[in-house]
Amino acid sequence: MGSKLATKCSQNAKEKKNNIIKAELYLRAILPTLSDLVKVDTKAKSIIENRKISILLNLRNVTKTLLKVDNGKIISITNPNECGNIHLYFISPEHALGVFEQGKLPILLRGFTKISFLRNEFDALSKRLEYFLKPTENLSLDERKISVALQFKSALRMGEVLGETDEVCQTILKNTTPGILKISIDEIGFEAYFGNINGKWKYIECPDKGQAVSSTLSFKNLETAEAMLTNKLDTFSALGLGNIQIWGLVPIIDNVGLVLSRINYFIS
Amino acid sequence: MRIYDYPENRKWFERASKVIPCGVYGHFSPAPCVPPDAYPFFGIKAEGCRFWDVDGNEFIDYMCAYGPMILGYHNPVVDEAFLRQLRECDVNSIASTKMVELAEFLVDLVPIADWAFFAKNGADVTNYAVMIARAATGRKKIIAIKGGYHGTSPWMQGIGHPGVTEEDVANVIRIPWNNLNALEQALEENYGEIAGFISSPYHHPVFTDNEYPAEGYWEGVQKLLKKHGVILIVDDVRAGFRLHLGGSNEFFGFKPDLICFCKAIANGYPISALVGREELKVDASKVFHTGSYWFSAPYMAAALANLQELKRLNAPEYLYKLGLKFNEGLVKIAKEYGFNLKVTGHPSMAYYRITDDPTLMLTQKWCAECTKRGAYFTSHHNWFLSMAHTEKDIEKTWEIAEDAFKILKSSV
Repeated sequence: MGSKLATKCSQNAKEKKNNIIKAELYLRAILPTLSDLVKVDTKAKSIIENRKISILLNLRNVTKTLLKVDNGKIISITNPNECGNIHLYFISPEHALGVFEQGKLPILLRGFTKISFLRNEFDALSKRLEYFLKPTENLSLDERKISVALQFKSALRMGEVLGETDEVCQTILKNTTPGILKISIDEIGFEAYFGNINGKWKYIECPDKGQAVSSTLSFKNLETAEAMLTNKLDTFSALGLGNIQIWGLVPIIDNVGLVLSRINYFIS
Repeated sequence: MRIYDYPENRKWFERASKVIPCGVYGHFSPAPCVPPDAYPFFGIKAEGCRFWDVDGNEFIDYMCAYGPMILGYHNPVVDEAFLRQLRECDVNSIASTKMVELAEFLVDLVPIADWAFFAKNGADVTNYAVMIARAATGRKKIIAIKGGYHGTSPWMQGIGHPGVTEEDVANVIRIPWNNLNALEQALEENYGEIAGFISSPYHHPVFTDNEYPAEGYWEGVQKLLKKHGVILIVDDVRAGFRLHLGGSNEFFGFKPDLICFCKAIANGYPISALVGREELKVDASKVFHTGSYWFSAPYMAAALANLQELKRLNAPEYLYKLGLKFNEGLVKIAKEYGFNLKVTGHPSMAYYRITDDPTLMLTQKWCAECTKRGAYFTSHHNWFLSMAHTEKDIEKTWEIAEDAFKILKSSV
């Protein structure tokens, strides 16, 4: 009886911990991808044209994300010092997950007069993001390019969050030499950087001067990148076939792959 | 100098990728061969220190099948011993006397060995060694070196790798190489829980410089392990019989409790061995460990013939001297073209890195250019020399290396 109870408690603790990580992935990695979305998608940009508003999404005792909407642009700040015009509050990770995954309502603490922005523009923007992050087969070529770029950026942001929250990713980090991996898809002009930077898994849009790239991973074409993002790619075969090219410190590439593969453990 | 291309290799790889995960998997996969288009994937013939790929390209082989080949491909003495036993009896329902003869030979050859056990691959015997250490001590934890490789069993892989659970690696503690303080700390923090310490005789990880044991390191390790009643397992799968016929520990001057051998034991025929001290023989007998083909006698005959040949030819001395000469020449050529080539590890199975670039990209380019000219070099792993490599082969390789450095210089 005691042993069963201990097992149950341990399972509950693990589930609780995973829920915190999952909620952080939504707040600190997926929502901030809105800032990328409005840069590349005119439809998304047009939704917030001429709007100036800020939304604070606050998960009690865990994390806060401020989205500053300013005339077609969005800036995302994690754990900001300022409050938003709108303050959305989540009492627990489970509550936050209910909002993000099942359409439940957050608690509105501030911004009652701006609720129409949440119901209209913000909702439309979120749906537009979902359209690209969970693509169907009906996307046009241009939309596919946007989708792949956004999926990569979102995944790399998630990698950064997992580096802070997931013990497995932290162990992988300990076994990784410092260095920056450049990920690129030449066909669509996409590039992003991720690596063990100053002892943390970090996503950067562009390295600073003096930050040398230690490994490169480039996809021959959009199809190969899409196959990888949808877990349909045998990467070793792709390397042999020349659909993926790598150079430099291969262990960094391997370990970044391990970190990114942890995303599926939390969010499918 | 002719630059190789690989149209048939590519065709075969396309076929392979449709029906085999990774196309070619494991350590033969194209992943660490950077860039893969400089490398062949499929061979059709091998002889001496050379192999030929499906495009008919000829290579002087500096990987030696990643270690198993030591006398040269198709060594007549070993092949004849194998074939003779094959004609007489391969696998049947009872053991072969060849197994006894091979065990007796190993017990005579390896100073710490009082008994021997045979399997097929390196991991078969590293797994067995760990089980014996646990059986002998009644403890469950194992200390291993960070970056050390002892096969692909889940307990030896890192957390986060597909198919590996937290529970698989929960009893393995990784410490840095050459760090007695870290070993002492691990032993103290897990007092009475450590069954064994597994390590290669010197550190030969991939993508990184190889490292010899520091002065007094193994002496210190043995002292600490003795104090804590921990079994010392040497994984000599990669280096075994290349540095010293009695086990690489003899080269470095220490005495482990168990030694795992594979690779160079039978010149490419699949067989591995665990040898150990008398004190562990009863514990070894209690651990049940077996495999469908572990009693196949022709491979034992090949191992016996191979070890006898290595002894007759005093192989470690030849390999050491040849390695020194080969490496000296490569370093000199590199310098002439303005590059610093760092050679680490044992001269006959050294790791090579151009230190002018910390990202390995220069090393990768140089190895690729050499391979495309007929010297099969990899940039991630230590290379191997064999008894079939001659001074003439080495001179030819220096020419190739020089040509590749020329290309490298013009591209920097």
